[in-house]
Amino acid sequence: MYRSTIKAALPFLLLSATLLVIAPFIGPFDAWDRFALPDEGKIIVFQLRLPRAILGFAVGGILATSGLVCQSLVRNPLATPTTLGVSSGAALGASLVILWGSSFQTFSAPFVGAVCGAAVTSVLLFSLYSVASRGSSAQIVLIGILVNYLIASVILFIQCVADPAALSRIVIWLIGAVPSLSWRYTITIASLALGCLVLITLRAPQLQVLALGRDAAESRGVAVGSLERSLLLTTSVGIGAAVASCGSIGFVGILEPQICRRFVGSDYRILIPSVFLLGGSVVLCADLLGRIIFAPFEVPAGVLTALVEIPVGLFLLIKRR
Amino acid sequence: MDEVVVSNVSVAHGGRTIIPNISFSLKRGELCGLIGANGVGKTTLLRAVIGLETQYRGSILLAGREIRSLSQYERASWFAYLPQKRDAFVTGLTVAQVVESGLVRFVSGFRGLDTAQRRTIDRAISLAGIDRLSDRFFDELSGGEQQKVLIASSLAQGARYLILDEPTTFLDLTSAHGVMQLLRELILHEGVGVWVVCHDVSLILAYGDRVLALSREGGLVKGTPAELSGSEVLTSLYGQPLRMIPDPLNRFPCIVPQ
Repeated sequence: MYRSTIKAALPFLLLSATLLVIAPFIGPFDAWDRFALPDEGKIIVFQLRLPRAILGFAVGGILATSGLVCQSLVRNPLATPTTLGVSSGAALGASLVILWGSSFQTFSAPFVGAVCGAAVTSVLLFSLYSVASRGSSAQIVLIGILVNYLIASVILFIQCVADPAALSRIVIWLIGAVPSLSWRYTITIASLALGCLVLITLRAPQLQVLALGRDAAESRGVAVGSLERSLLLTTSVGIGAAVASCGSIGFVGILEPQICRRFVGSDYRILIPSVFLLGGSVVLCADLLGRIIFAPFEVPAGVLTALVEIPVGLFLLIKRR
Repeated sequence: MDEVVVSNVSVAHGGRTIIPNISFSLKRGELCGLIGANGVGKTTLLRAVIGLETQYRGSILLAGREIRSLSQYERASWFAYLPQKRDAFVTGLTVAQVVESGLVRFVSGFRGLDTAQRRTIDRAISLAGIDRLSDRFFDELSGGEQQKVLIASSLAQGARYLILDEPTTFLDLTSAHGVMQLLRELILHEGVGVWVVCHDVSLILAYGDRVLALSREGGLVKGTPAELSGSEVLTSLYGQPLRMIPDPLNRFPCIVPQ
């Protein structure tokens, strides 16, 4: 049983590996041929495109995995970091930091802002939920949507009062694009994403049992409250890292769990890594497409994620197994 | 021994008393029923006894220890709970995976079940009589089959007591009796204690060893099915006269509103 599910996850592994290997060689310039100086080609491939591919992959992976975590904690397929407002919270935190003068280049300041924003939103969300005690899962999604709108209007307000320079930075931020960061930052973000993945996979069986309901999981010995808190904290850090480096890339996190379930089933020990791989591939694909279609102009990845994924997702949803 | 002793427990939410000062005990090896009108607090009482509802007064002792002092992990070896409301989002879980959830407290993402635990799962599956279902998807099963899978999962948990909240409500006649017979077999062979909320009074009178009847005015009335079926308790329970029609083939009567 376990071995066969691992086999089912292989396509995701292959897809990710292929994309990661070819991504640095695809772009407006054929880096190896057209450049007279081979050094320049090397710089483009290894200093610009490879870190960018790894960053996009890590960010997509952690966003998709957070989507699966949200859906499982809330027991509703509509719950994702985007619909629950956690991503907007992170974006708000980062926008505030940008607005108050920290430069775009040192990203540790927006990073802290984004993680705090995501964490505060998660805590707000779950305290509202527990005040409305034992509400249905639809209720927490509803609360999340309200929180999301609330934060969206605060962000709109900030856009109204921001000076033009800050405004354009915030707008690009909100669309979401994968930048070429230095290797140091890329490795930091990638290891944060991997760390979150490991921590979440560690709680896989508990998260899986939560599907049977809060009371049922608790009576089976799962300390649901502490599970929720630790996973929310983990995903907040992950989403914060993602939003701080790439802005709020939308739409990742809602479809990947659905698609992966079709292929690998609901063994979360396999499902969680699969969702990570698929999410990473989606953002990487979107970034690649954005680099190619209107070259030499770039379309931000956040514009294209939905475009990459929705056809596949719709096809799989309409075609029952 | 492994007795659950509930003494002087009352539960109030926002100043409104839901459960008024009641006492009873549960023992292993018997099937205890809990009946009462809708909204009288049966589920609240159940959740308090198994440690999910912590806002109560009085004491609930498991082998002499207060339930609130036990960790979630320890409670899981006392009670396996089948909630009435399935606040569930079960997509793509196989029957085997649902049964394995009974042992979730022993595993992590990087540590699976050991051989002995696998055997526990297989045994629970065969005891519940669902061997032929084990590779199917849980959400594709009928209500009766799902209930048996969940009972198998509770059994795998290895708890001393199975606590079931209206396990027969959505089941057809045969499936409902199937579930009750399964519970009797588990009591006989595994020595567990069973506490079950049920709206079908005839069913609980037929299969129960003891019955607790909860009402807002009278509090908790305890008795054997034989004691209760002859008395006025059942009539007062639902605020409406009941007619008991003796069944010549069964010890206990059919019960219908008058």
